[in-house]
Amino acid sequence: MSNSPVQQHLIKQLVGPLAQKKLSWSKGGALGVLLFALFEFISMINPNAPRIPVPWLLALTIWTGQITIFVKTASFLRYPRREDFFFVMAMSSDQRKKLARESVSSVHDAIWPFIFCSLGAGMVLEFLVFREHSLVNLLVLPVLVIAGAWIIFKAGTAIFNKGIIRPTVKDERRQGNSFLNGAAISSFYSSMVIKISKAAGLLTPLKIRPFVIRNVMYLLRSDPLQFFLFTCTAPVLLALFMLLLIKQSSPFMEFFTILTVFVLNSYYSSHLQEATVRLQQCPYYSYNPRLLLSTHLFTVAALSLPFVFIFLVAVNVHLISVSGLFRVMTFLFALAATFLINCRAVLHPQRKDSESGTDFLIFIFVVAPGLFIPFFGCIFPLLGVTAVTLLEWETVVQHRLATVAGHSSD
Amino acid sequence: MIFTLENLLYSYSKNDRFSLGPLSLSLRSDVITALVGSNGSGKTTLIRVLLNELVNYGGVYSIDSKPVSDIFGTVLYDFGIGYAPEDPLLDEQLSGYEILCIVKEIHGIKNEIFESCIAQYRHIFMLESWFDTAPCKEYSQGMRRKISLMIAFLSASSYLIIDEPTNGLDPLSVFGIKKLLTQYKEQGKGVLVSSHMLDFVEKIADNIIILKKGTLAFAGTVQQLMESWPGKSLDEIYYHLFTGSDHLKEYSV
Repeated sequence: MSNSPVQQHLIKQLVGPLAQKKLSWSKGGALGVLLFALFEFISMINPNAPRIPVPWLLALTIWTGQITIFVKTASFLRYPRREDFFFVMAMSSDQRKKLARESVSSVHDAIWPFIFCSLGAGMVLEFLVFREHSLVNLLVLPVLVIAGAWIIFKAGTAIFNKGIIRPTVKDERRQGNSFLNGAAISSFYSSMVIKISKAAGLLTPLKIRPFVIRNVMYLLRSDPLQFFLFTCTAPVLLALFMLLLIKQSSPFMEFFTILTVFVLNSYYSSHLQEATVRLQQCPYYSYNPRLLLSTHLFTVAALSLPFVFIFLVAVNVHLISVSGLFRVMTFLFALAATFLINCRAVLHPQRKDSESGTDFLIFIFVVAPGLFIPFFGCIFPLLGVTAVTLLEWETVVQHRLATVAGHSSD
Repeated sequence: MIFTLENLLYSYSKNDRFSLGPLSLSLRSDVITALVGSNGSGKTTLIRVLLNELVNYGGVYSIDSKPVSDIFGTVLYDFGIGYAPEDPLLDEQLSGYEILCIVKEIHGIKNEIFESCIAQYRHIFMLESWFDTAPCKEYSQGMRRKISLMIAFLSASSYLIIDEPTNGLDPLSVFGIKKLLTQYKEQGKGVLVSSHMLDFVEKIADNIIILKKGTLAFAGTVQQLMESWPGKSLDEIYYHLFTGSDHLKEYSV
């Protein structure tokens, strides 16, 4: 690929000397010989030493290197301000995209000879030292490594080309949102938004269903990655954490479940706050604080279902007893208190930091201790529910907020 | 449905130079009524009173002989009124189609009716992929207006109130609105349109209310107004009404 001197300079500044200094055939060959000597030839001399094929080691090195270069290149597309070079900040999104493509291509142009040579050296030594005469056996692993490297390279450039890396806010303002700008991707994503949000609303009462659907749509549209983290990745990680590290009989099972729900709901609150503010402003919605409270309760409950499910599966052995039933009851009360606490943040978008502090204190000192006390521990989360209900008494009893009349005469 | 205002009086504050009224008029739900007046004449204030957004008014405002002050709940929902404000307020993160899906759920509209309405809107407003995929924060003024109007049409089961519907719209969409309004009237539903576009008003409205500095300058049918000024267009009549000293006869709407 022919680059202009200016582009070459920019690429050199961004990805370092890797793209400029072509790693020679000799260096590739030397690495192949070295890896063979260390991980294959030694096993011939010392049968106790493990034999690790050279292509596997090279695959690990090459693929990791490729991904690192891709992440580094992608970072100056999304966060140009974090770069140390002023020229990146001054560039438009399209210019940065082009530079990213050129950088990745240059790096790959430079490392292909190295990849071929190191794999070739490994193959030759395998043939000579281990007397491996089967061409298929010799070629399978190197071909897989090259195919993998090629796919990573192509996927990286395709991601840059399609604009899947979200541009900066400034770029969005200047040229519209180019995130998911492929027609097929954005239309697929839009249909997914509608399907997922309708599915989330299925278990909710008819009266609040539209608003639960709206909340989920807001979360999916505002930050899709965070949404999938909450609903998919976080429960899996929590399950692994619980099953591998904590004993099923430990009250820490409940504590970590509740804490995860509390923390992740707090992350969501900024998006849901925005949804609440819009709900108050838009004339086509009927604003009612009590309705809003129930909506958010059902939204956080719907999003927390995987966590409840994991908890019940994880401790199922202990549930078939009186103490087990008390344990579940305490857990459910604590969960209800946590939902209520999380709702408070959403119901009052303009509240002070001290109120957020109050919520956290209620969670830590009122709700959580009950989880560690057998039988009568459920009193604590109930106290938490009562405390939040009293704090939100106006919302609970109020049917309708007085309309704030702006001054407009036309 | 009949909206009745008797000696309605509203001002934003005691020392306010602007006050609306006293107004006495009635709006029927089987005709298209145009609300016309210069800037600051009180059109939007009147609409906000009708929607019960402004509540500290004097006089009596009733819907179907029931005083609105006695109604517990929202006028928009309780009476099936669709409303498109002058400045479209939308859910910025959601696409137009997603907002309409929520409106459909709120009003319990059946799937087949919803889909046929959407198909019609797609045709009339020439909606492209942005309608389904792009969030409202990326829409132009005209796109936002279209979404706001679609919300109003979809949620209006008995009456429709639209404030400056033609602002920022392309001529084909304006033509489409006229068609939709006519269809709506044929279904026996009423419309209140506030607009500065007199040729638009002349073509679609049955009745006209002209406000001048918060008071009623004329209320009657468009035909009655035109007959009072023979040989003059609505533009000319409007001009004389606001600049000349001619007095017009008043008719009950």
